[in-house]
Amino acid sequence: MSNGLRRRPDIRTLIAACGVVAAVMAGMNATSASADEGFRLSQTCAGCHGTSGASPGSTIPVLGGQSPAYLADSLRAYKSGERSFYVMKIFAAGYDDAQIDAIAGWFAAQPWVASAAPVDATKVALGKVVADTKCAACHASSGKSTANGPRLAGQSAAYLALAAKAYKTGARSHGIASAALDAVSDSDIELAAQFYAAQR
Amino acid sequence: MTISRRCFIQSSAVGAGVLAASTLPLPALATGEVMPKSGKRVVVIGGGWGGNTAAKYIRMQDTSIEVVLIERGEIFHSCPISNWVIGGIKTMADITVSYDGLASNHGVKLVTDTVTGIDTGAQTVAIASGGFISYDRLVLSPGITLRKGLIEGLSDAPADAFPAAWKAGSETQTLRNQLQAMPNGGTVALSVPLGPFRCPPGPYERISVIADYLKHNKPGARIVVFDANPKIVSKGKLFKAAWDALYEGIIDYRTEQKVVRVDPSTKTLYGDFDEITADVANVIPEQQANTLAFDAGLIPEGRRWVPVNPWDFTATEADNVQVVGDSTDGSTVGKVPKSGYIANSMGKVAAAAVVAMLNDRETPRPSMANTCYSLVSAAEGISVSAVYDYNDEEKKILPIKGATGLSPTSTPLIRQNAEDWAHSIWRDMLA
Repeated sequence: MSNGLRRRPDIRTLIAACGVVAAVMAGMNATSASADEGFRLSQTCAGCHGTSGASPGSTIPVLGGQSPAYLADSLRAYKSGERSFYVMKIFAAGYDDAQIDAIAGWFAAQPWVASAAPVDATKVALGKVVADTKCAACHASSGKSTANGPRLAGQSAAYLALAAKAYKTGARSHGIASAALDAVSDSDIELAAQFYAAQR
Repeated sequence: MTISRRCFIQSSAVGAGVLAASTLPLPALATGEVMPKSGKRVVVIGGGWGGNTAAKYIRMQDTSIEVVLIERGEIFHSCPISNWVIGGIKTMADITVSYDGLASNHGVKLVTDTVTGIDTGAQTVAIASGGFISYDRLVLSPGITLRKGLIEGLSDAPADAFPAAWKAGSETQTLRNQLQAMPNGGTVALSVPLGPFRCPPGPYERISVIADYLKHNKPGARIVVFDANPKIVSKGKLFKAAWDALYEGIIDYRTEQKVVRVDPSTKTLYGDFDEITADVANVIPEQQANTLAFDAGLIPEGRRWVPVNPWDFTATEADNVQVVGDSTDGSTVGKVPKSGYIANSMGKVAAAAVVAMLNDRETPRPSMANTCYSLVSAAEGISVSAVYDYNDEEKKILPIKGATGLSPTSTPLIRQNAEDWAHSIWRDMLA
């Protein structure tokens, strides 16, 4: 992880910019018009992501309580094609910039409801080592930090593993995450995913 | 897509009024208002995808509104994923969900009963156990009626001769059992009606999972399809690719073959040109809005579906009534399929409008979306999606440019996404 940072310092700027977006979004949440618009547009997301973004499913991520910057960045990445996924490509194309911010802000303001997908206690224990050495620098050992990216704690393990592998294959790209995960085996990714899924 | 309630009032040509006259129990019936009303009340008819969603989302936004959900079925069976049961991938238990969460989590008042009539003037709904329930606003999500009468011999055939299994429930299991019992080398016949019908990709997913089952369990067996349409109605390219790759010699797909007659004594389907005698015969008839919507006067002469204003899904033929789900007239809604996801979307638009109207606020602009997942085999799925907005000029719900499309191919991940989607949206309706 630290290697990734040294090699790609430009990403720090990106992260700082995300922080600014997050601050702006937090301010937007205070306005009821934006919240109304966020609710209006985000209701249909619940078809897959659960009411208020509390997804029960294994491959579909929890959105409620997630970092607003991460959610908005993700939608924009799906829309631009920078991030590739068959169904989100279509959905993200349905919203303009302001709508994306409203949707992201609305979900971020909802309570986090951890995935109910089961975890394997042995893998959780083994995964802590991987998580602490490969992931915690940005995501924290708790998995709850959103200073440098999405919350991982309580997200389903199947989804976390799919997402992490996508950074390796290029289906997703993010300077730090891609560089950090490039050196992590798929089996280690699955262990770390189990660890973070078990955090609350 | 749905089900219990769509299944309820209707399974045959028996209309709700007829039911009331002929099958009501003789003991003393309640009369008058059975649930005295104090504040604002919304009655929702039909515990399927549209009705459940509307009931829950009204209560989520305004707990001062009393919501009464009338549904005949004791428990919810999901039409989406029911093909998985027919293919032996899931069981009925896997697609069955309790209504209890609507009551315990959201305070929806559940009435397990059959609606026998709607008086849109008096704003009352009559129920089979007697009496009526009055409303300030009605949300009707009645589902479809199968037009069995269009196929000679079908209405009089024994119930298990040609199961449609187009409303999840007992016929789903019947069809599954018949497939398991059929001999190796046997023949399955499946007929697809002219549209519009519930769940456009549904017949083709069913063909796929049946073919997959035959391939692995019934050597030499095949499925002959009589499709009344000129081509596969939904996701044609993806289904065709899968059929060519996986089911050569198993699927015999014939187009422009409308079934006009059936003979239960030989289990024979007669199409416009061909006939086929089968061991298992799944006849899916043409469809129209549930009889209840006709009886309530919501459908003009000569039409088969309920016209609505797609801004808020108010019925054009009555005041204080909204109609959502498969029974709505697609030509008035815009360009949306009769899918479970769309019924869920419509339920949310109607709920937001109800809450606004009962609070004297402006109704919000509708926003809708759809994804229909289908299996092409037990292992792989495909999808079609769209995001919709209200078009101010055409006054219709239309897909947003660029925000529509198919999955590029079939994959195991899409199959898993489909299963996860089902659990999410069932909870979104019922938990």
